[in-house]
This record gives sequence, structure tokens and C-alpha cells, in this order.
Amino acid sequence: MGEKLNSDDLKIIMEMRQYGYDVLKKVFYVEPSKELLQTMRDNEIFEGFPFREEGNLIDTGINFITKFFADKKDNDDEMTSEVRWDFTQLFVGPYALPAPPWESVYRSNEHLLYQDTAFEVRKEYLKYNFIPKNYPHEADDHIGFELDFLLQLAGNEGALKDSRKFLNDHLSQWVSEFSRDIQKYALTEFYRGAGIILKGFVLEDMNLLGEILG
Amino acid sequence: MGLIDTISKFKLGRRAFLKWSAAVSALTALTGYENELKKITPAEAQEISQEKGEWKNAPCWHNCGGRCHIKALVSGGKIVRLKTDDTHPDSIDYPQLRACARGHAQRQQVAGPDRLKYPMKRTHWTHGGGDKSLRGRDTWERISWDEALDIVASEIRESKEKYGPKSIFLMDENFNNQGGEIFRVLGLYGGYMSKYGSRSRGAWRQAMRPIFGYDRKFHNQNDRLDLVKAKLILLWGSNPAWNSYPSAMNNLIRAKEAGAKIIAIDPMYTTTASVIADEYIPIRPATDTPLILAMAYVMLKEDSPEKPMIDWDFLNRCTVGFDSEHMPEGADPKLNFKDYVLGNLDGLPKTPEWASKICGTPVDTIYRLAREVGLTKPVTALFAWNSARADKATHVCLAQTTLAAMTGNVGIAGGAFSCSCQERSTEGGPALVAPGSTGVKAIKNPIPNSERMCANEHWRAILTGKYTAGQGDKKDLDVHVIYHAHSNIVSQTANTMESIEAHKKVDFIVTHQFLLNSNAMFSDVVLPITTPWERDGMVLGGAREVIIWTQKVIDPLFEAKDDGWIALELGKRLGLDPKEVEPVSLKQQNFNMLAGAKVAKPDNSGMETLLTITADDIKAMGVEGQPQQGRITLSELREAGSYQVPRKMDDAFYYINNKSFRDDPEKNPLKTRDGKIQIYCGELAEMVTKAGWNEGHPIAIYEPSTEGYEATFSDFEKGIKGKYPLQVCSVHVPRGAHGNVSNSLWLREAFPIPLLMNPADANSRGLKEDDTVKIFNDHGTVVRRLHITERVMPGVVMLGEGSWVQLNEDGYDIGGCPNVLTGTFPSGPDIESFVSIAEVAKYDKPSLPDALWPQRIIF
Repeated sequence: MGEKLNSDDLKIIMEMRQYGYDVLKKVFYVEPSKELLQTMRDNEIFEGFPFREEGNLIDTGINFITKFFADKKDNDDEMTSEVRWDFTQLFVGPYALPAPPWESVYRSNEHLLYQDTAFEVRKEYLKYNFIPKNYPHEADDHIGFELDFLLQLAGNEGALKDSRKFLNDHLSQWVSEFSRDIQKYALTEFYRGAGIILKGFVLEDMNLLGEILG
Repeated sequence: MGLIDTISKFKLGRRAFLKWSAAVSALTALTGYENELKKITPAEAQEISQEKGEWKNAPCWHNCGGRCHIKALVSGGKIVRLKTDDTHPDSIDYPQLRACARGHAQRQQVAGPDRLKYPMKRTHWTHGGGDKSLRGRDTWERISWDEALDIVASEIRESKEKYGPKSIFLMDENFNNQGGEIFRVLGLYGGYMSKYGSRSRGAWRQAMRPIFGYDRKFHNQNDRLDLVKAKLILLWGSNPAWNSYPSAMNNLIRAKEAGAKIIAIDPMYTTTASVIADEYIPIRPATDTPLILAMAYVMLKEDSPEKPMIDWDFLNRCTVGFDSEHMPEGADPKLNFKDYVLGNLDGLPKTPEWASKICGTPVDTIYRLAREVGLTKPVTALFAWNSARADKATHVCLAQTTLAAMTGNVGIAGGAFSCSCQERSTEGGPALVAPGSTGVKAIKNPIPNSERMCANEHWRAILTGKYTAGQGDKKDLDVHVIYHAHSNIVSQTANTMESIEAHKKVDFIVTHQFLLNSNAMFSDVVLPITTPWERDGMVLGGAREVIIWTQKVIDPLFEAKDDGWIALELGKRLGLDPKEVEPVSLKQQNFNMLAGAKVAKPDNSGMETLLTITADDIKAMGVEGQPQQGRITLSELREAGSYQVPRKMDDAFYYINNKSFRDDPEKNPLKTRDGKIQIYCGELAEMVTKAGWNEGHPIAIYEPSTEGYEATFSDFEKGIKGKYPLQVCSVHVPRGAHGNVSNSLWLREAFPIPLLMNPADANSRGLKEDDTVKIFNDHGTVVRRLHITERVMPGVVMLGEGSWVQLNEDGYDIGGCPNVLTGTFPSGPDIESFVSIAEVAKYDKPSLPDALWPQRIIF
């Protein structure tokens, strides 16, 4: 271990990581509901996001989202429909999918679904007795599942090493390209910001785990 | 920042975390769509992780006509890799049925990111249609299956109640012996508007029954092993190297090796021609009849006892209508083929000089070809359907049949004039192995057949509210709902631009699809269906020597459902009896087809049961049935994936078409009006005239298509070209099978579909290789990259078919759909016209190669 941690510190770290992964998961696992967006905005959820440092990626991303919320503050319905359409056009369709939210699309030579990585992450999930909610009808390496898995591990003191391994082997391998596509093709500052935060948080978390685990 | 700093900082901001935790726990409304994990027991996890790899039969299901093997190694729901036929050693008699690139790309189609994954609704659709102009470019929302099915059911209900059942236009099909589920639902619910008509088979489909007494896909061909007995083979518009797998090329190569001369007659020097032809003869699209008439003219002029070209014995014994002495009862003796060709009817002898002006084949080549076909015995001529896929083209069928009869290439070894396409490319003869029936009795559409629309005008009918119901009979039509349960007809029917307008007129459109094809693109609700790889099996017949059985390869991906499930759910909402909607489950249908499968006895004395099925097999499949004895066991079939009849030269299955008819036409009459070949075919002429669009002719009188070669001139006699001086010829390409698989990025990379143009035409327009060009006429504009090649005749441009229409901001189709350029030119009995004329010019917005385009992806 790089630096000595007491049990309180470890608890804080667990909370930080749960916080980060939970917020990101909810941004990426389904079209956000109006209530979720209101909750995020009204409780300034992004302002308190872990690892924010002035000028770092997370900070940059938060600024986009803060601006988006400010611009839409008097029109919740417009805010919601813009974010939902942005999610749909980025990750759902139609006509062309600019940021396919599956690892295998980025990592297989053939850019297909249900390729090696989907089965590799499934194996990791199974070690902890998890499986995608609609197994086997969803490709297991959707960004939502990978974030959810890291969220589940973040609540488990003994799973720091596996978290690092999963980040190393999977999420970190495609998050940069995925984030780049989101930034390039998002129609709202909400997803542009979220895409940047996603990449920033993954990189910071890898650093953090590196420091803790040596 | 150090770890301790990070922690301290977060401690200060911990308030946000606590707020989040509290707030999130209050957010309980979940959609069910969340991509999150669920906890399972260790035992369940163990079971999932132990799933093992297994080879499963995963053949192509598309309509290229190929019946090829593909097996998929599947592990834990993942298709690891594919292989093709290794069931037996390859030989030319008994060939392996190997899949082409399209087959190997099926994996990308089934598991590509562009699969339709969830039911989707067009955002601005509301009851009544909403903003209909947005169809094809609107935004979309994911909806639940319940919501989607409720919408579809209520739109059907309302349309029927308000406007009657004919207000619902249904496209469904029984394909590969299965499907047609929505026919049942709407048939039970009171009926629907349906279509009839020949699409791929042009005039051939209806014309050959009155002319020659049959309507079947193997047409007039002899056995494939008979090709070696031909001395001369004409490939007439036929390019199996691009579009007929797995064994047509093998059969032709074998004939060539046995000494046959092969001549390819085509607007393009095709890949097939480059591989096997001894000679290539150019011909303009849709001008086959003038060439045939001129060949007949040369034969009539030059036939002599020393150099016999015409088989007078056959003509006199087996045909009617060739000359005035052999006319059918009641026919005007003047109206015979011989007098028409010699010019005694219209003062215009059908000389090679006359024909050459139209068909573009050099005069001396026509003379040479006529003599060669007349003097060589026997000759096999393999036509593609394309020659008669133009308006008024029944004359092609009459002319081709007449030439066959004149040269006596009917009912003899090595001699046949026939179409050779799809499953039956180079393969004649009755099936040697065939699946049984599904056991499903069709539901009759309560709307009578006399009230159907013809596919050759259905889009215009929807737009104008009138359809042709017969000679002088136009009936009213008021379509409010379009239901696409099958096919890709927005792109694959003539006049795609009119089709799009029709789709923008109606109130509601629903499509069952697994990809955002053209039908789905212009719909309001899309219902994601399973591919056959995700279903309870399929039994493929249609070829002569093989049937293929496929079981379920993988579980349905995402929320995809079978068409049968959709039918049941709609039926429930429309108050129908599920037992009538789905009387036999898909699993049971497959079993019935297997149990009923028959195979020819080794001595070809009849058919016998193919499969031995045990009580255990029946139990394991979860179906109902009786054990039976057959040639091979069910598990042998499962293991191999197919049953293919072993063949060898001169075996019992060798087949010559029409032999008994030729030997004794009185005893073995054809199913024609007087039992003989109708060179004068009054019945066909009546059928054409009665259909209501044009006047039929009983003999092979050449009539140009509305947008054929003659239409490229403003004054044909004086040779003055018009504003659309080029003929556009659409062609089947190796990238796709009709509207299928062409979306695959692998295939796009391997097989680009540029516009093919002769250098003379490119130079005169200042066009260069790889230029982005627009091909335009009064119907629409297509944008493509240009490939300049001597392989295409001057005055003709070739465009691969099968691409999905995709309109850009100028209203131009950048997808490359040739039907954007075809018009609505209906003709009888039911022919849809696929020929067109156009001009080509440089387009100022360069386009990327298709392989670099983003895919159409929608959940």
C-alpha cells in the first residue's frame, strides 16, 4: 500500500467510488427520467463529484453540465426531452449510432456485438454472482453493466484488486474512444459533459487504486 | 494530488454524497430497460459459466436462391466462428455446398450493432399520422412491447371500423414454407388489401403456362449433369458467378471442360463471361426480342436441306402458330410468326440490320450467332429473368420459346432453352428431396382476389385512390394503414420515390424487421423481430438435391420476438382465437416438415420417407408426432445439417425435360390450350388485354418498353438523342441478396457498388474514375461513385441492386437504390417494369465509399 489508510479513510474511499460510479451508471444505463435530472440539478450532485480539481477533465465536464442545467432551469420538460433524445441518438439510434455503448464494438476487429469482451466481462460478473438483468438478451459489455459492476465492487472492501483488474482489462481500454465519440456527437452539453466526466473519473479511479494497492 | 488530500477533500464534500443517496432512494420509477446487473445464486452463476461451445446449423435464409451450408460455433450465446460445408468430400458430381461471402457475413447481420433491438416509435407520430412529412427523417423513442402492440392493434381496429378492411394494405409472405403470420391475423379480423404480381420473374411467371404449360422455377431446364452434353451454351443475361451459389458455376465449368462452347450475351462483360465464355456478345437492356427475331430471320432465309437450321419436324408436330399452315383453331392464319419475321405482316422484315439498330449487337455478329445456333446441335440457352422484367415483355417469352422450337432444342439431351435463376440456377428436374408441409392451413383473405392491387402500380394506386381491376375497370381505394410484415419493398419495387410519397400519405405504418431497412425507415412503429438464427428452426427446400435443417442457433437478442408471437399478441388485442392465429407452433411446424420430408428412391421409381424418427426424438423436440422409419435418422440430419442426394453421371436421376412430350405430343399434351407449344398464344394475349393496361399480342411482336432504348432518343428514326440518353441496367451483385445483407460493412468493403460506365460515355461528359456522380431522370436522382470500364456497353450504365434508399438534403438517394430511377409502367398480365433511362453528371458533394458510412442503428 502506498500510503497508510485507516478504516475511516477506507470508508470514505468506498463512498467516493460508489458515488462516482452510481451517478455515472444512472447517466448511461437508460434514458434519464425528468425526476433523475431534477434530482441531479436540485441537489447539485455534479458539484460534489469526487476527484474534481480545477481544470481537470472532471471539472471541465461538470462545467458543461452546470451550464446545461442553468440554461434549462425554467423548462424541465425541454431539458428532459433534449437529454432523452440525446441519449437515444447517441446510444440507441436512429439512422446511425455515433457512440455505440458496448466495449466489443470498440475492441473487436469486426466491430460487432457479443464478441470476446462481452464474454470476458460476463465471467467477471459471475465471480461475484452477477449477471445482466435481461441475460442473455443484452450484450454484457454495455457501459451500464460495466459501471454497475464497478459500483457493486466499490461497496465491497475486499474487491479493490478486482476493481483495478476490471478497469485495466476492460473499461479503461475503450473509455477514451467512447468518450471522444460522445464529445464529438452529443447534441447537449449534458452528455458532452458526462462523456468527459466518465473518462476523467475512470482515469482518476485507476490512479487512486494504484496508490492504494501499490 | 495525494491520496490523503483526495480523501480529505471528499470528506468536506460528503454532503453531496449523502444528498445523492437519499435522493436516489426516492427515485423508484424504473422502466425495466436499465442496463444493470442482477444478483443470482452461486449455483446459477456456476451453470452459466459452464456453457460449452457447440456447432449449430446456421444457413442463410435469404432469397439469393443459394442453398448453402453454414455452421456456427456457439458458446454461451456467442457465435464464435462460422464454417461451411464439410459434411462430405467435395466432388463435381456430389459437390460441397459452400457458402459465399454473403453467407459468412450473416454473423455481422445477426449480431451487428445495427440490429433493431427494441420496439420504437417515431417521435412525432400521433393518431392520424402526426407530421407525416417527417417519415424517414424523424427522431425515435423506445417504447415497451405492450405500448407498441396496443398502438398497432388500435390503429388496425380503427382503420377497419372507419374505412373498411381494404384500408389496410398488408405486405406479408409465406417464405421458405413458413411465415405469413399477419396474413392470418388480418384474415381472421376481416381482411386486408393485398397485392399480386410478378416481381423478379417478370413476364416469365404468368406467360409460360399459356405458352408452354408450366409455372415453375426450374422452367424448362434439363438436369444439371446434362449440361455436359450441350455443344453450345448461351448465357443470356445470366451471371451466376455473382448471384447463384453454390454450384451453378461448377456445372458450367464442367460443361466447358467437356467441350461446350459458351457464348455470353449481356449488356456487360460479366465475371461469369470472363471466367468461362469463349465469346462475349453485347446487347442493350430489354432488346432481347429484336435479336431473337433477327436470328429467326437469318434461319428462315438460310435454312436448307444441305445446311438444316430449322427443326421442321418438331415445329409441325409439337407447336402451333409458326406458319399459316399450323395455326390454332379460330386464329387468323395471317398472324403467324414466320410471316411477322419476314415482314409480310407489317412490311418490315426483322433483319439483322433492323435488329442491330435497336439491340446494339453488330450486324455481322447477329448473322454469325444465328448460323451458329442454327447449325450446332444441341444448344442449351440459359436466360435470366431480367430479359422479361420490363413492361410489355411477354414477347420475350414468346420469342425465346419460338427460337427453342425452331432449333428443336426441346426435350433432347443437351438441348433446352430455359430460364436459369435462383434456387434452380442450372438445375432442372423435379425435386429429389423435399420437406413436408408445415401442417398450417392458410386463412383465406375475406377480400376476394378480384379486389387485389397489382404490384406493378400499388404505390400509384395508394396515391391516386384508384387501382386497375381489369380491362376498363378502375376501382376506388382508400388506404390508411400500411403493414410491412415482410420484405423491403420500399427499395425493391419499381418507383421508389412514388413509394415514399405513398408512405407519407397514410395515417399509420408498422414494420416487423431486425434492421432499419427501407420499410422500417419510413414507418411509425418498428417491431424488432428475431432472425431465423434465433427461432425454433427452419427447413429449407427449393433446390433439387438438398434440404437444409436449422435449429435455433442463439437466443433472441435484446427484445426481439418471433413474428408468430407478435401475431398472437395482436390477435389477443383484436379478440381473435389464439388457436386460429397460431394453430401449429413454429417448433411443431418444423417437425411436420421434417416428418413429411420425402426423398427419391435410389432407382427413381418414386419418393420415400427421408427420416427415421423415434419416440425419444419426438419427446426431446417437445412436439407431437408418431415414430416413423426412413432413410436416415433425425440425429444424422441434425449432425450434418442437411440431406443432399448423392449424384453421379448417368445415374437414375438424370432428367430431360419435355422428352415424353416431344416423343408423342398427342399422348403427352402440355397444359396449354391445345396441348402443344403455343407460338401463337391466344390465351396469353387475352390475359394481357383483360388485365387492363395494354393490348396483348398472340405472337412475339416486339414492343419497346416505355423507358427502353428507343426512349433515349427524341427522334429515334433520325438518331437524335433525348434528355436522358443512357439506359440504366440494374444488376444483382455479390454484395447482397435483393434488399438483404448489403448493409454489412464487411461486404461493403469487399464489394463496393459504383456506377459502371463505358469510357466513351465518361469522356464525353468529362467524368473521371471515382468521381461522385448523380444519375437522374424524371423519377429521381441517385448519387454514386463512378467506375469507368470497357466492360459495359456504350450508352448503358450499370447499377447494382439491393441498396436501401437514403435521401439527402437535396432529395437525392445516396444509398444507391436503382428503383429511384424506375417509373410506374404497369403492363399485363402483371409485369412490373425495372428498366429506366437517365443522364449522368458530376455531383458537387463528394461521397465516401459505402464501407466508410455509419450504419443505420436504432434500438
